[in-house]
Amino acid sequence: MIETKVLLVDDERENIRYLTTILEENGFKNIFSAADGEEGLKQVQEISPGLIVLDIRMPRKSGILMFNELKTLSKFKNIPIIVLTGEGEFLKRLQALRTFHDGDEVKLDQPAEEALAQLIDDRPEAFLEKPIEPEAFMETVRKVLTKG
Amino acid sequence: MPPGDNNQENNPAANPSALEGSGGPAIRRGTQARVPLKMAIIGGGKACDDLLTLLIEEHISPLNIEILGVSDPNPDAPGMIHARRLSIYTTPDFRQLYDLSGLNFLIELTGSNAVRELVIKSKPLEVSFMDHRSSRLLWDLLQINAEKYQLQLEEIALQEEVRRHKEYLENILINSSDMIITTDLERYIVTFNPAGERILGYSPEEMRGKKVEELWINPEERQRLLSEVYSKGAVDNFRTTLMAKNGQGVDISLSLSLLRDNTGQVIGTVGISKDVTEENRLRRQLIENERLAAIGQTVAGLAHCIKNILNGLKGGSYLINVGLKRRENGLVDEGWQTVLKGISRISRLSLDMLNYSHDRKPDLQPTDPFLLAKETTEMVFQSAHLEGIKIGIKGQEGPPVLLDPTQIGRALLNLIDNAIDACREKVYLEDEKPRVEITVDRGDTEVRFVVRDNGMGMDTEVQSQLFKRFYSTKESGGTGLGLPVTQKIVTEHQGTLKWESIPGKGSAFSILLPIYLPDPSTRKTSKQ
Repeated sequence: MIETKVLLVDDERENIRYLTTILEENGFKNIFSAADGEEGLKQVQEISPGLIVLDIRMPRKSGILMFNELKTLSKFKNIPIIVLTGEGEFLKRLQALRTFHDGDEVKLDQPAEEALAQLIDDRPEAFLEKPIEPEAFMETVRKVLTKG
Repeated sequence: MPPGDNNQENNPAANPSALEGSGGPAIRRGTQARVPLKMAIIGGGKACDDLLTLLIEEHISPLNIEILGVSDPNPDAPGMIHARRLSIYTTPDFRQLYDLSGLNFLIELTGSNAVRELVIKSKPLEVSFMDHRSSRLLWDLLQINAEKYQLQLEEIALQEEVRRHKEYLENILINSSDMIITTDLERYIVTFNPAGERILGYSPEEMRGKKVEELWINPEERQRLLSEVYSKGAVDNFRTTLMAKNGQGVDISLSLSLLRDNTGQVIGTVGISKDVTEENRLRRQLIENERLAAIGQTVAGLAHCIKNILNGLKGGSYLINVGLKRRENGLVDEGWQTVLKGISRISRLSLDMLNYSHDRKPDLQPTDPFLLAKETTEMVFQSAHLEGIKIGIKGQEGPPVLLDPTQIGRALLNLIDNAIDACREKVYLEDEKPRVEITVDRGDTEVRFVVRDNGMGMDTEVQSQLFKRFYSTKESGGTGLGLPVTQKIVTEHQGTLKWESIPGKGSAFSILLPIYLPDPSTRKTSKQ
């Protein structure tokens, strides 16, 4: 597991540093990063990571766009993705959408949420809410990697 | 009753003489009135028809006339048809009439002299006879009577209508749920309707002799209102408070107008008041609810902001821990920088909140606006430079104007920070370099500070949310209070905040302040 190539996508340097350090402390060695969706996609092509951690805070949508693209590219469709969100409310709403989304029409208010709905459709492996606790993060990472 | 008349005047059965319901004088009659007239009519034409109508009408029946029969060679003459309808005996031969039992009167309406002579010759002796000439006289007299009666009926109907109308208008006053008060020219209360009783608790008797302004908490207010009413004729929806009997105030919405008589002369006022206490209470409740909702929203926004900052602090302290553990100073440094950032963000947040919540009067000091801008720019120059963002300032030193340097400095700093952040967020292509330029412009009446950047600009959605508290597009999370605070400061200086922006190209924010010159002789100011 700790050999897995992990790609962190977040425009905040500090956040990248933070997550990198947590992974390092838990034995992970192959950690890569990108500062936005574009760069992220390039990295995916180059390194073929085994896990992607993606920040999709609103209103910047590039994180979502990257996610959607990944899920439509057959080659990388199956890379597990952990999505980070800063908005607790959004998280709850997303999880609610997720449970109801099977077959149901879900009405969304904001245009940003439409993109999120697409996210739900494609089902990330996990959501994590900021601020991120090191233990919670590692637990999620391990859970996701064991499933795959 | 006139004196000297027969007893019959006092006996209604013997003398059904009063016109029903007229209230007029009774018909005076002599003894002959008691003799019943049993008559027959010769000639069943139109005249007969009319006569039947007249005689059978109720008011004539006290005349004690009975019609025994009608004769006419033509059975379909109008009088004949009418007679049959009234079940009166008809015959084509007038001589048949002579045999009618009790007949004592014959009236001839044929208009034919031949018939007249025939009748005179053939009738029984004891039967009286009236020919068409004399019956004409009778007819005219009856007509006059009928007309008089008709007029009386009309008079009664009119009076009834007037009474009903009056009653109707009174009912309007009585049933109105709004208070209606009329006053005379000396402002004494004339009418005070039941709604008034209900709303104010006074009875109409208590209102007698009272001047209307005694009901007003502020009598002078009514005086002023009255003069307005005199000049305009009426005033609508004037809101004020009246004093109820129990001492409580009653909020009302009053429509007051001049009361005039039929000649147009002013005789007083009429005021219709709606009790709006409940309405006012609901309105205050609504405002309070909105206020609470706004507070709730503010608290939520605040919590969100703090959470953001906390994120950074957690991350930073984690790095410090790991760095200390690994004895990696680089890591400790990085973590510490993050923590420091978090601290400064918290202090900015609390400063912004204080600024925003306080209604402060600007502490005006003579200040050179250009120097102030320069000072503010120098605060951020270094750190911006490190990130490759160029900051420039244009303008000239000049004479001081009155403004609050701390406040305006803060406003400028907010704008400059925003500009720098906008540059950070943008991806610059090869030949374009991030740049923020501050210009200080001075006109005759205004000072203009412009903060222009070539950063990422704002689309319409962002622009619409600009002054929403805690709205921030910054990834690292600004407080979201920067622009609201800036706006507040500018407004407190009676200035204007303007902006324009092109998404992808940049934005320009301007602060325009009216120039207040310090008066060199005294501390007083004069607006230029």
